[in-house]
Amino acid sequence: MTDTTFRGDDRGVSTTISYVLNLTLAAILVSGLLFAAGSVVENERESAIREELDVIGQRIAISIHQANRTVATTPDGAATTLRVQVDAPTRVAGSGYTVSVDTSGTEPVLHLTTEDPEVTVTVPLSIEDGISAGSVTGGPLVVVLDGGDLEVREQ
Amino acid sequence: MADVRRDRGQLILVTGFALAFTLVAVVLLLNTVIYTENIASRGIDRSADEALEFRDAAIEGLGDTLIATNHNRSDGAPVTVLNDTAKSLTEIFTRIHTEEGTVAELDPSTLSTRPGTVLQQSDSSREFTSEGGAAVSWDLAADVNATRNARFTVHRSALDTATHFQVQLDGDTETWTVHIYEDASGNISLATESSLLSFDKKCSVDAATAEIHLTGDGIVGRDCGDYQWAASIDSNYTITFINGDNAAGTYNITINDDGPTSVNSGAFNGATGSSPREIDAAVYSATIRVRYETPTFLYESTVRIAPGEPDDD
Repeated sequence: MTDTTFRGDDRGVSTTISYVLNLTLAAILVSGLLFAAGSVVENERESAIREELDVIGQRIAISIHQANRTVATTPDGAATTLRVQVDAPTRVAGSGYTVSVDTSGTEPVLHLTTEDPEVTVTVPLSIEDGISAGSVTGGPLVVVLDGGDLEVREQ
Repeated sequence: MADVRRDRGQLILVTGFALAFTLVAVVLLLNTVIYTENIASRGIDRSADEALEFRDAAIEGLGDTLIATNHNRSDGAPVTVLNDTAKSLTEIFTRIHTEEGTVAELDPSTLSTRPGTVLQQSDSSREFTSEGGAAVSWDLAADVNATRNARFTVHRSALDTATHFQVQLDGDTETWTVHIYEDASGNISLATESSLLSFDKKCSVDAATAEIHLTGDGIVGRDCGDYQWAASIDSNYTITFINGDNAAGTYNITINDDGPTSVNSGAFNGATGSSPREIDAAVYSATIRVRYETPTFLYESTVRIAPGEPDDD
């Protein structure tokens, strides 16, 4: 029963079955690994998007806040031009996004939304009124004063 | 047989590559997160605050200039002096912010002024009666639509506890009166009364002389609560001194004079100069365009300069 004897011994072994079993096990292992890795990437991407949208939302909110304060301290009736630029990226973790101002609640809020994966981040604006509702594509934005109300527009 | 051996491990190789790509993707995502953290930790653009600082400095600087030119006409025409001040302020702010690419500008070509009249008495021992003491209760001006910087300095010795010196504003439908008198405790006191609201003492001060800012917060240095000039008047009004012989000191009132306003000039000494009582043309208010621009911020508005004007006017 030397090695040489074993190597040449084909008894009780079907080459086909052995091959199929090997292949199947390998496939299960590989697909399991790829699936796990894929979901890790997807999770990371979603949390990266969430974090980035939150930061962008906060920065837009700061600009709106500054604009609001400037308008509030300007006497009524004075013809005023106001433009505050916000340098926001056009894509977050590879996805485009939209920025919308929602004034339906008690306090205006900003919604930042990506479609794929679907992530929505809401940032409260902490101002009472004086901003018009609307939706724009994410990217470099400006906050302008239009007809007495602030408006978020694309640059 | 040799060919077959070379093909072995293909699946593992492909998997390895796939996993490698996945790891690269994760690294790229983490990179995005780092970039985001970097943005999050960046300072906030202070342009809006600086714009408001510039505007407030402009209002204050031009306001001081307005008071000074009204006070001392030898400086030249108020408009010229205001223009010069606007230019100086622009230069100072531009110099401060030049390196940041900022434009801070007060445009002299947009300066416009509204005429006013200063009614004043500078002889501090004189009573608040009309010219030559002819009348103790007399009208200063009629159809006045705005008053600012109404400052009185009164001496306790001339005030009376029973017969109060009063400044009365008589509007179309309502009358608002401010009483300046000596209360039972011997303090210089301020009270208001109107056709809608009963007599209401606002504040008092225990001093021989008191400075009272009637279009401001009342007795200077005291908390006069909700005291407000012409609180219940919403039309043009006549300014009347009542019981002018029950108060003595100085006063200085600037009224708006671009409408139907008529000053009772006969009751004043008329001419300017060394005369103890004066009536003089002045600038009531001025407006000018202010512009503050940085690469990321633009603010352009009109500011109104009327120092010492009640807030609601």
